[in-house]
Amino acid sequence: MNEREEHSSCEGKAAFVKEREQMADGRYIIFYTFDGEEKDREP
Amino acid sequence: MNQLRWDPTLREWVAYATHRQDRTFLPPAEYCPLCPARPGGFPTEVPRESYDIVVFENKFSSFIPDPPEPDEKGLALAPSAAGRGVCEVVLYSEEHGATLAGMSERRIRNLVEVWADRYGELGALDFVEYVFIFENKGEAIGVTLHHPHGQIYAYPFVPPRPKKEIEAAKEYQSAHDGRCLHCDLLSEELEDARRLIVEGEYFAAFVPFYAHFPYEAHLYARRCTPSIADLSAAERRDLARVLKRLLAGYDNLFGFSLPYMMVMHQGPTDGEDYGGVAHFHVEFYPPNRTADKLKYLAGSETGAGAFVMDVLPEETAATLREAVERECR
Repeated sequence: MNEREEHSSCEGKAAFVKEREQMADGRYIIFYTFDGEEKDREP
Repeated sequence: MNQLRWDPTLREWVAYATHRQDRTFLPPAEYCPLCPARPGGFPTEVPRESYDIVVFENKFSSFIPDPPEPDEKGLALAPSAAGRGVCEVVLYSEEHGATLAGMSERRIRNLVEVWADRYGELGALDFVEYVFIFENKGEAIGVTLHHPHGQIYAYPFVPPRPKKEIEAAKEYQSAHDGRCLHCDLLSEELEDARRLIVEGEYFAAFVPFYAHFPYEAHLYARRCTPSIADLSAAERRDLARVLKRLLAGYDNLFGFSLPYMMVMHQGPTDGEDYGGVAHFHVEFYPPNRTADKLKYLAGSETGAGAFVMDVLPEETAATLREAVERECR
């Protein structure tokens, strides 16, 4: 059950990729990845 | 075991999820189950070496999508039911030590996008009547994992507090020519201004006149919109901006990262139209009344449901406003 959706930047909303996978115990996990997102580091 | 039991005296469901007794409790950072899985390291919940924002089904769910019918049938007056629903964990960042307050406005903006997406997807499930997005932060609140994360409960019923709020708004709407209770409350708070904390173009945060916690804050959309999914791009950006400023103010208040409960109130997803009744807003309940003293929900609050407060909202709002302004200088 691996699915991948691309959400384009619509009416100024942020674009992202949504990937849905199944874990070994049957639960789902969804990875949201945004365009050009910098990594946050604690100061 | 996921089971609901009906309390006919309060007319509300109580959820039982006994497997939650065994959930991971304050593990050391190197054994955090919410960090990315590093090569040769501890196998975490997230099977990637790096991630942006992640959502997964809670291992220790209070509700599950396909629960068995409960063995315990209950009483004639207090029946049981299957605990059907969905519980998700939302990982805000892969950085173990990060907090929402310290994240970039852009990351918070992206998180708003994820919250909106989850509201839409979970709310579309036929057995989900209410999508409740929240964060418990800090050990004082009972948090068992420090990694920055929130949760989502997709309930098979409209929970008591939002239900009471919606009933009040419906009655107000009927009695006031279709007006929205929350819009009118917000107008009164904006006009009074003594309890305002942060104002943005599309959102405003204030300590409500009737706050139940000393530093309780409500963050309201200025436009009457039922859910986070209905917000425009500009409103989503402003929500991130105002949310960050409010949380930074909380952390400035006593000079440490303030524990809080953050909850979102929005329209149920039971098929009814909640336009002009549900008004998207976020409520914050920090437990601290001073740097080292907590507000406990004791006899009056728990047993009678009547809150008794030691400080006035006008005073705490002024302190909180100053803490926000200090951050901006």
